[in-house]
Amino acid sequence: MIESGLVVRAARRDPDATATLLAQVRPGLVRYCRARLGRIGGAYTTADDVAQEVCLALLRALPTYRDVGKPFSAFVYRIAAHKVADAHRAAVRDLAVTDTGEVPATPSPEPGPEQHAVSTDLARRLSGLLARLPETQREIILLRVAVGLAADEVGEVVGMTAAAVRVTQARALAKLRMLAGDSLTDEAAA
Amino acid sequence: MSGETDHSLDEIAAIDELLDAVSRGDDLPGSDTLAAALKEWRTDLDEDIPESAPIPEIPPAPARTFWRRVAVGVAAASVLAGGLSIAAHGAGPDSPLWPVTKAVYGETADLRLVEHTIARARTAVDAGRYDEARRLLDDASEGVGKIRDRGTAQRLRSDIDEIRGRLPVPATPPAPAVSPSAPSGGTSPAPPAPSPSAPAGGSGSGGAPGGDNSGGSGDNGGGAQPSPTAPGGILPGLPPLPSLPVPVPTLPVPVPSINVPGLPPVGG
Repeated sequence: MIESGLVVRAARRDPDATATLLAQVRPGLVRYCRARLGRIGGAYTTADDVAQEVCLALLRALPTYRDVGKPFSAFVYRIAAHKVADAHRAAVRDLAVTDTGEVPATPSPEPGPEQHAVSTDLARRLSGLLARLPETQREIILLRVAVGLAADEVGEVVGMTAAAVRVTQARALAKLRMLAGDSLTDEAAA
Repeated sequence: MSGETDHSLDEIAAIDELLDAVSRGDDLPGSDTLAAALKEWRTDLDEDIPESAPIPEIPPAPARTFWRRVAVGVAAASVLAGGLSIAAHGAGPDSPLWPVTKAVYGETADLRLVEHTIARARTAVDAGRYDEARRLLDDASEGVGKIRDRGTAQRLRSDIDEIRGRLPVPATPPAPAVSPSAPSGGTSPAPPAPSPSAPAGGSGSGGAPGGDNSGGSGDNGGGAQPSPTAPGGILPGLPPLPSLPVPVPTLPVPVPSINVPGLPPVGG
C-alpha cells in the first residue's frame, strides 16, 4: 500500500516524492500492462511501452489527485485500465490481430505427468484462458495476482466491495479451472 | 450473485489466501496446478522489468500555467519515453510496434496540439480577436475528434464550449447586416431568403442599395445587433414563412435589425 503522505507530496510536485512514488508504483503497472497485453512478437516490449505511457499519464494526472480516503492504487489502475484499453483497441484495429488467446499454444514438447511441466504449460496459455473470463473477473485476477493488490484495494479500482471481490475471484478461479481442465483433457486426448 | 458457482465462506476465504500467497510468490501448499501456473505467470510478468528512467526536474509550480504544464509534460515525455520506449518510438509503419507507436505517441501529440490550440483561442478571446478565436476553436474541435480517450475528449470539448460561450452573439454569416437606415435593403443577402428565418427576404423588399453597404463585410457589425432570428418572434401572426412564394420581395417582412412594430402593408 502506497503511503498517502508520499502521494500528497508528489501531487504538490515534490520531485523526490514523485520519483519515489513512481518507483513504487511502476513494477505493478508494468506487470499489469504485460498481463493485459501479453507478449507481442514473443516479447513484452509493447506492453512495457504502454506501461511507460501510463506512467506519463499518471504524472500528468497527479496534480489533480485528491485524497478522499481511497487507496492511491484506485487512482493509478483506473488510469492504467483506460490507457491499456486504448492501446489494445488501436492494436486490434490497426493490425486486425487475432487475439493471442485464440492462438492455440504449441503443444508442450514433454507432456509428462510431472506437475511442473503441466503448470508451465498452463502458465503459458494462461493469458489465453484469462481472455475468456468475463471482464470483471479477469480484471480482478489481474489486479490480485499480477499486480498484487489486496482485495479491498481491488474493490476500490473496480467499484465493488471487498466481499464482492472475494466472491468474484473465487468464481473466476473456478472458471479458470474449468477452462484449464478442458484444455488439459483436450491435450491428453490428442 | 448469479449462483453459477456457490462457494462457502470458508472456501472464499481460502481462495483469497491462496491468491495472496500466489501474488507474494510464497510456496504453495499441495499440488494445485492452477495455483502453480498463476505463480509462474506472475513470476514471468516480473522478469526483466526495465529500469525506471530518472524523473525530470519538476519545478514547484503553484501557478499551473499552460506553458509550465506543457514544459513539464514535454520534459517528462522526452526523458521517460526517450530512455525506455525507443523500440516503439522508432517503429515504422511496417513494424509490429507501429500501432502502439501511433496509439501512444500519436495520441500524445494530438492532445498537445489541441490543448495548445485551445489556449490560443482563449488568449484570442481575451484580447477580443473573435474571428481568430472562432477559427482556432474550429481547429480545436476538429482535433478533438482524433482524441480517443473519452474523458479527455469530453474535457477538451467543454473547454471549447466554454470559450465559445464567451464569444459575442454569433455573427451568423448569412445574416444580412442591414443598417437600420435601410428599411428596404438590397437583394444581395437573398440566399437565405427561402429559409424560415426569412428576415433576409425583407431586405429585398425595397431595393435601396444602402442596405448593401455593409452586406459584404458586415459580419462583424452584425454581431452586436439583435439576433437575426428575433424578427421572426415579432411576427406571430404571419403564416409559416416557408410557404411564402420564394422570391419574397413583395412581402412586408421586417429587416432583422429593425424592430418594426407596425408592419407597413407594403403589400403587393
